[in-house]
Amino acid sequence: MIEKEHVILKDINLKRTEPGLSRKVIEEISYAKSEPDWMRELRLKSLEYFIQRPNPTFGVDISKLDLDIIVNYVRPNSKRQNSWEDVPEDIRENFEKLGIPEAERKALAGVGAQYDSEIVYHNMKDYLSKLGVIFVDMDTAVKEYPDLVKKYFMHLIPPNDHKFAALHGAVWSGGTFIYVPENISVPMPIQSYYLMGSPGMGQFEHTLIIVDKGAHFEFIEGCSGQNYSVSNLHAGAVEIYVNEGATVKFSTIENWAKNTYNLNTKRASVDKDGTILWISGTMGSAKTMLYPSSILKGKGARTEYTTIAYAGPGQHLDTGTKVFHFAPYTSSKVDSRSISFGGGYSFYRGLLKVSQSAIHSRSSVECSALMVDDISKSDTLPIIEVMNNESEIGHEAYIGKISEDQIYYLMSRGLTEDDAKALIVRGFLDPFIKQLPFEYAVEFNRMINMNFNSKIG
Amino acid sequence: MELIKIVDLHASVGEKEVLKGVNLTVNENEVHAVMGPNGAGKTTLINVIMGNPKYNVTSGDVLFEGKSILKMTVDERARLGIFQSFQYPEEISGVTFINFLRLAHEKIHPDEKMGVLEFGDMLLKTADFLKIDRDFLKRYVNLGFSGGERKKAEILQLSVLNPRVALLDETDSGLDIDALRIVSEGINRAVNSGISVLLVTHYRRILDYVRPQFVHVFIDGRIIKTGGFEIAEELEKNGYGSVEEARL
Amino acid sequence: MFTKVEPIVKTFESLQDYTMRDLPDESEFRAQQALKYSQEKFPVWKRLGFSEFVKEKIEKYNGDFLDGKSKILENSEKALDEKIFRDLLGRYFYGVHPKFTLLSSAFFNTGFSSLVSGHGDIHVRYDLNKNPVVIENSVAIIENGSEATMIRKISGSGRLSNSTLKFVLRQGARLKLFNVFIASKTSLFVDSNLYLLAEGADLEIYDVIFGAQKMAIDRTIDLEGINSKAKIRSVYFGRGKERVDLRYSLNHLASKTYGRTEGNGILADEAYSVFRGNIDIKKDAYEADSEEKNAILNLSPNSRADSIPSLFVDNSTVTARHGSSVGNIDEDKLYYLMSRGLDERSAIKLIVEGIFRPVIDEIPDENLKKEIENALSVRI
Repeated sequence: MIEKEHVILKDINLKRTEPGLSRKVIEEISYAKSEPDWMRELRLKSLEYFIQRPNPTFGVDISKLDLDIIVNYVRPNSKRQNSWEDVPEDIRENFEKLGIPEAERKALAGVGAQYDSEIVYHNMKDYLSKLGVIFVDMDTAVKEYPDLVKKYFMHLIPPNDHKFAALHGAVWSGGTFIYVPENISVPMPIQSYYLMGSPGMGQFEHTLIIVDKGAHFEFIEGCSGQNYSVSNLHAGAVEIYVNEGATVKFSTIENWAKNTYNLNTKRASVDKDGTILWISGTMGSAKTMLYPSSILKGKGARTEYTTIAYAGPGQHLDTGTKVFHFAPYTSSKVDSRSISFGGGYSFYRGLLKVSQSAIHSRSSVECSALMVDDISKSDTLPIIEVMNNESEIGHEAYIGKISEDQIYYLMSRGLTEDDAKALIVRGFLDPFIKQLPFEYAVEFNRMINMNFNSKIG
Repeated sequence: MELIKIVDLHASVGEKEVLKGVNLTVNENEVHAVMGPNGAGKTTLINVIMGNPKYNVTSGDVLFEGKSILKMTVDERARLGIFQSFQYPEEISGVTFINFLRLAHEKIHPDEKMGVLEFGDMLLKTADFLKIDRDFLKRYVNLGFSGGERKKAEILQLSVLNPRVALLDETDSGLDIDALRIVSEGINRAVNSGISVLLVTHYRRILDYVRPQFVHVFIDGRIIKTGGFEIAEELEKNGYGSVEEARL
Repeated sequence: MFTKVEPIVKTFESLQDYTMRDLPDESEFRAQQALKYSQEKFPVWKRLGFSEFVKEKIEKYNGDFLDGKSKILENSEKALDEKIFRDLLGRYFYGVHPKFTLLSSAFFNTGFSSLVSGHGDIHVRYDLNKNPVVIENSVAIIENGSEATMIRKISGSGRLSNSTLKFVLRQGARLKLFNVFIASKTSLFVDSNLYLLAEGADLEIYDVIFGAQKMAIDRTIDLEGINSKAKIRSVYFGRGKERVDLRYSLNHLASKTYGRTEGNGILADEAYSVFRGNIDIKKDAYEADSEEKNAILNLSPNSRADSIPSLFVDNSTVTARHGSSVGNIDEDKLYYLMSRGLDERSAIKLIVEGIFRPVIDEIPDENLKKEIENALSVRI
């Protein structure tokens, strides 16, 4: 997960479509996956939307992203395996080189791993399948659970939502499907890893999570890739349906290589008394646009965000949160932080909408940005729309530097200036780091140390 | 043995000259009190010894064990064994007190490798001695601490980091009588373990608990009088005005 | 280094629009401005619900200018003869949108031009009852080290009030400005102000706003000189179907500049307000300090409050923050007041008055104070 500028992955024998997007390419993908007709239709319809829709009129500059040379589908020469040992050695090695921990771990209920466009490994603890929990890759779900997939797939994020949702609809491949039945508590998280190992490719995995009434579920996704001189593109989609009284915690540790455009869409709809918790760390990519959305449509629905953006040299991270209060007694809480250093640019973009019917709602949004040096930049632009008079809405934002007095205080206790800075940055990001699984937290600290020339433990 | 020697020290903050020729020597096992009115430059003196970059030394020198330390950064001075306690210590969000202190201890005493448990144990003992709630070691550095808790936390750091010389800045201010007694016991414990102390204060009160061998009267950027404890008593009776008049 | 992609402002062309033929005279100044005007389209203001323009006849009108002690104060029409005023009156300024600032420059039927040295005390009044169309183009220059207090009131029921004002505060100049707008029934009310602050200049703006049907306000403050300082207090009360869109932009261009914006709004009935507080701190603005706060009291289930505070920061040595809140009257406060014997209505009235009070207290004109107090009590 840490800096991987010098990592060189093994070249793997892969099948790929021709660059760019066309009807032919889409037919080819659909054929390769031997998909049902309705999915092929959805792809082709999405292609139409993609052609019609303009580029977003906000956010990062994507004028240098040439979609005609992006390879939209790259299939590794491996079938999906249920045992990590059966995954070809060179693919396993590539995962390990990128610091993605050994896939099978005791603390997880299930693990999936995607290499380029396809899932190469998938496994879940037996007792969960006995409880009726479904955890399969998205392509399998299309074939084995067509009713569920038809009912939910790209309903929260319709293909005509925006240009990159349309692109996703046209060429999506891989990803994860999860269904948790009523009142089932999955005691440990399920985790998926996504890796981009080929230059000039696009990854478009689709994650669909349906958590039934009263169930509890936690999902972690980790993203990584090799840095190439050409641009890579990631335009995934995450759709989460939180039913009445259910709770979902969705964590992302995104560390795409610094040549990647990360134009991702994540949305959750939350029914009565349901809860969605978003933990989101954006560390990688050259340019990111990502605004996980919570649609609170049931009475008492709740959302919480703990997000960070970590913008270093050459990175423009345009991230934020979107919350829609559509029902009474809904609540939202946002803690969004960003660091910009070494010329990095972080932009927080927020939307908070409280409808007329969402009386007695509460929202508190806090965003803070720390600028480490003079060449970096930080902006904040939240939009707040409140359409009733029985809600309590508060928003605060702060942009500032690391205080010299803090540095002096720490140095007076024997720390070097670099150590002091690293410690302050680490402390600032603590609300996020605290939420990470242990291995990720350790990796994260190593990354901060490396960026700030520090050696503190 | 000579620990700190200040020679004709001049220093300024921005354009303003604050220290106007200070001479002072602190030897091993000595307690010095520097007394003076607000704005005399007492805090500046401490910051300049410690190496705060906000203060400019315009002339003179500060020696530690005979060698000039003016070119050293603040962390280097800390590692030499100089400790500064702050009137208003900084808050560091997201960093627990225990992690912070362990890190500082590692930096200042790299040879004393202590296990996590051993260190925690030592910290808890010290906390108990200073009547600091054990819970607060898990809290973030100085965040939401009361005035008294901050002062105690500074003295706790003094005990744990075990420097050669401690520069204490108005450690008594804002303390009620119980807290003052506890903090003073903490300082005395440091003194008894061989740490030299330079205590800067406006009031005599703390000197009833921490007995200095030397008292310096500090007015307008200079030490104008040095003597024993009797000077503190004289100041209490007649105020700083009398000393200043005597000088004139 | 990075390009930020920004939305394009949507525009529309109005079938009814002013042309050269609507100019009151054939002066070259007006003709040039009108040419630029004709090249702009009207902006579509989604939140304000502004997507068509009704052309109103512009009659000649003299506002009421009371000269206190300023060196020069005259009608902008006459001031065109002097280069210093003419340049400023014709200076391009974005404001709410160039279509409206250019409307002022080309077609103005009133406005003042003033040069203050020493102490100035200026009162300006426009009565929309007397003249339902006010197109103002005004400028004021406050000389080095000079001080001015200015009260500007626009009131009455009219059809169109469109003002563009530019203020130049030279080194160490001070300006305390009160804008009081009581024009509930006026169809369209637009007010763009530009403030240019040189080194050490000190600006205080007090905006007291009691609506119009559609209202767009822009205050652009360029803190160009080091140590320049701007403090803004804005209070507004919306009722009925009034819509108000307020934008306060503080641009920190030099080091040690200081900005404070505080907006308080009260919304009743179906009123809708948008409060945009922008803080833009540029690369050279070392140690700039800027803060923006906005609190809205929503009294009605049908009112709507949008808040769009933005911070753009290019320099790491600064402090910038903003805070927004939207809510109903604090129940604890209400309970406390009622426990002291006040009925609910009086308690609410007291709280609302409490929000306006700090601004009212600043106003150096007893009659105007009373007028504001009246406007307030009519609304509660």
